[in-house]
Amino acid sequence: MPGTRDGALGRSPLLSRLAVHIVLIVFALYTLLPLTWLLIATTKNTADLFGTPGFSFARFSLGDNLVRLFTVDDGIYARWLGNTFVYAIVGAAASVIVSFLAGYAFDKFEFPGKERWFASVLIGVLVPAAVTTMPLYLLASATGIVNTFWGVFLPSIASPFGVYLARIFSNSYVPNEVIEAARIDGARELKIFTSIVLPLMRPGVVTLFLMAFSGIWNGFFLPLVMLTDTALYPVALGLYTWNGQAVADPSMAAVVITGSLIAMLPVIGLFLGLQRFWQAGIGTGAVK
Amino acid sequence: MSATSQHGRLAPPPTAPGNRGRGRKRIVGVAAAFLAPFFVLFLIFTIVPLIYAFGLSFFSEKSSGLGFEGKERNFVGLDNFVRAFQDDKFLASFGNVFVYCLVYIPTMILIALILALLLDSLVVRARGFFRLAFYVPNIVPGLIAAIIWLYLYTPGISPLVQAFESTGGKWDLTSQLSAVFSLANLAIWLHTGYNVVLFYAALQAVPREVLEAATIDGAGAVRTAFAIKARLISGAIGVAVLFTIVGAMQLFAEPLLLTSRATAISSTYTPNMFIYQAAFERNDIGYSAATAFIFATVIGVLSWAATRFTRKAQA
Amino acid sequence: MKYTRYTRPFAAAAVVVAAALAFSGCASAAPAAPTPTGPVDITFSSWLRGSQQVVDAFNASQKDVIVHFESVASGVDNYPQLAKQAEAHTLPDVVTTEYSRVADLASQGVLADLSKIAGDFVKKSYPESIQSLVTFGGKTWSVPLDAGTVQLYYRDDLFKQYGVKVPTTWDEYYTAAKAIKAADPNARIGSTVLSDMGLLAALAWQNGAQWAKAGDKAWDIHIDDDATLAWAKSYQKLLDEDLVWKDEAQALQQKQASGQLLSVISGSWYGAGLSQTFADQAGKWRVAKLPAPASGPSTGMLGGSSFGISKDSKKADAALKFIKWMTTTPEGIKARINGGISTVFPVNETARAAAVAAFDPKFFGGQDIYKVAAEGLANIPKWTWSPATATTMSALNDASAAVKAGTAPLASMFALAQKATVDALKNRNIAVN
Repeated sequence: MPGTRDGALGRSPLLSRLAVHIVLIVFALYTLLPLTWLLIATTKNTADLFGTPGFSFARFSLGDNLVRLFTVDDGIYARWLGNTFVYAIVGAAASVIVSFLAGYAFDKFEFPGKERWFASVLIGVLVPAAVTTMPLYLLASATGIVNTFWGVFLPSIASPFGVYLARIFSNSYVPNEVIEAARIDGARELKIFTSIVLPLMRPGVVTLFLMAFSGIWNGFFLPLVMLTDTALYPVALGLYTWNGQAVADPSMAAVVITGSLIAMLPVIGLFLGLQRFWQAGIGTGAVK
Repeated sequence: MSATSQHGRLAPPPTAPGNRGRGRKRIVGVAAAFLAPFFVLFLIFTIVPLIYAFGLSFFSEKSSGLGFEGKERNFVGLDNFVRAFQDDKFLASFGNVFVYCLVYIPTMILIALILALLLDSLVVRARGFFRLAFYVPNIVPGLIAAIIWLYLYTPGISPLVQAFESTGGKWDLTSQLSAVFSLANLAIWLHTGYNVVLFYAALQAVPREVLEAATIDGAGAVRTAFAIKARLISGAIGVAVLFTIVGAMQLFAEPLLLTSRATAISSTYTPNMFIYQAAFERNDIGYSAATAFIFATVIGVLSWAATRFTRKAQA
Repeated sequence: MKYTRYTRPFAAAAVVVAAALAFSGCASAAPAAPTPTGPVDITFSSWLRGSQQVVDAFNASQKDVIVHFESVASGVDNYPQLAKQAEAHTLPDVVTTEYSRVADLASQGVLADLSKIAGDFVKKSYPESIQSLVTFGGKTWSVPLDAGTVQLYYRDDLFKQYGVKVPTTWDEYYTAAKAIKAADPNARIGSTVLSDMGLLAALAWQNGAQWAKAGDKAWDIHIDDDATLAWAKSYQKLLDEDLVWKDEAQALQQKQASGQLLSVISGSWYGAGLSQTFADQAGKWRVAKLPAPASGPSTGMLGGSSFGISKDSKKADAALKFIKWMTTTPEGIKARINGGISTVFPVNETARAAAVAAFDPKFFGGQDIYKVAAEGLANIPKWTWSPATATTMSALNDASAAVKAGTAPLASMFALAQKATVDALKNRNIAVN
């Protein structure tokens, strides 16, 4: 938004402009260099990974690494990627719907004990995963959903933080008058929600979806506990176990590095593609 | 915080006057229907396990003889809680995250604030690029970030370590101090960008008139930035601090990955790791549940304190 | 469809009800009874490479038993899962365990007592030192597959270049370490065993330590016994005089790549990873027996796996048939090796012949490294791991930070581990003398 604001630094001399840019560039280097290292590292075989400086290229082995990544352990990596897509897309979609239904209801409807209910949601934000994971495992074993898709999918849907944000989004994107007008027209509540409210909250929906998506995509604790069958693993957990094997068999290191890069690409792609929305979405969260 | 809200959340949804009773009842029904999916899942996957864990914390599994005759679950009252408060490792894990939070949170929030203020100043070009560059690490899974930084902490591979050691320091992942700094750096790298975007958006929402008034008062650029702008977004800062504390206390995946490579990070380095180890490695379920409850209580108290503190700072 | 993968879409709805059940200790899901006729279906979980190929070959070789395989996370991540599966009664019929966790898994209710059906078989098929790892407290708990005989992998070219003789005793190791550091301040004979607590245990074991012993009624735990402390005292010199690298794994591999690390002490399985990771150092590596202590030639063990039958299994006979085939027949070993690069070192002699025949010794300059490992195997003293080995290892690992930093002597670690282990056992109400 250059030019729309008139800050005090606007008339500052060249020197301070330079200083400001240097600070920003230094921090950008800090955030981007490790990723650059990862890019370079994926082109090395294990011996060069350890034997050559981090930021210089060696024998170009990206092809070999990719082949090994997708063939080691009978090509299970592709399966992990597929699993993760399913867990993340289905899980994030379900989570977004549930969060917005609740967040919208908290924002726009009056009902007895509303703020008490909302407080219980906020307490949910504070409950550490460690407290519930172990009993959750025991309960899941009792019902037979342990070591299944459902064991990872179902517990990740209800997100107290998601409801908290959804309420803020509803408050800032959806004017009460619009709903009132629709009601006078005789529209049903669910219809109002799906055809008026959700489109109005689009940046919020995208932001929450991305957060839930990357949360599940990167999720590790719940699958670690719930899943024994490696064929059901999401990619983060798979990489974790491979990394454990790299202690005994260092040649797995190059596979883990290459696998890490590939695993990040879908999420980074998604965030870049939907930039416009989430930057607005996070902003809304900040203002309230 | 609601000063800039366009549609005050405090205003109840207007209902047609003649229709009040029935409309209200109807709305309550609709609200219940909208809230049901969340609360049903919340009940099953958070509340029930929470109650179950609470119940388990009063039990302990006991073997007998050489340990091969099976186990019995016995009621032990408050034994598990008493044991927790006498367990050096459990107490040490709180010390570790406390030191970690002390290093990480103020540093990260301050850096994020400075960067957001700089981005907000008019002189900056390529704002979009910087915001994106800062944000990217936030998308990187904590585990992968830990793997990357593990290499970047390795002498001979990493130019960073070389640079550090050329200043006369010794980078040694076996020492407690480097363990804390390694973890804090990892977290700063991961999370600063998110808070920059957050603070920047909050700054954008500060009404122009307020800033102009300050400028006319003759406040200097730096003073405007810190004394006035930072104060205006103290609400956003408070929220960021709160969520950062809650997240930082729950540190788990990154140190878990580092345990095998950094001796100073023990297998019970953080409370979360301690709880996990008790439940899944030592199979000491009752004790794990008891320690988990103590941990949850500490987080609750800290969050409450953080909220109080930021409220006070705003007032 | 694999055995534990129930696909009940709305199982979650039953969770609340089940909560009450689980609380009172009535877990559900008992395995179905075996069908009286036709082939028997059994389930098997493992993280060992080549397991799928072993299962396929076994299923093709006979018609009585059909094995369903589940690949699981490796050892340290799988043990907690096994303990939890035992609680939920969802264990597969056949499970994999390293020797160090046999007692632990037996005490968690994972392993069935095999004394009646496999006690004699284990006795006649394996050397005595291996038997002691799976038979204790008067019961046999699992059937051994391979062993990680600890030995010395060394850079033949660099030892020659520095004019240093490959050590055969620990005294010679110390002398050689000094000579190498003197010849090149940027090179060391090896790295400290503090990087791996299993290795530390193996060296104490070599020196005649006996950390755990199952008596009739109670365990004897002596992690800080004389043999261990004597070893620690002699090894301390290497640390004090900075004769071995103390870096973490990543940095060590960097030193190994650049030839600053002249030897590695590890299990017999290490050859596979070494030849893959540092393929460009082919022909430069050799294997020697672990340097001997003053008491004469011996070695310890690092890693090595065995197979057990789960306590819930109702198909022990079929399971045992499969286990015997995997561990003691040449076909079973061949199938495993065909599954990829592996230096599996079978402890059963008949089975080992197949592994020797399949191994390509080029990386080790044509040396028969199996012969070295076999000689080592004959010299391993008896050893038993306690049911609290995980605690012992964590305690040692936590204590090692101070030793690496040089603020505590090596010998101080063992009393701490002793206390932690005894406490853990007592806390589980397991009897300790």
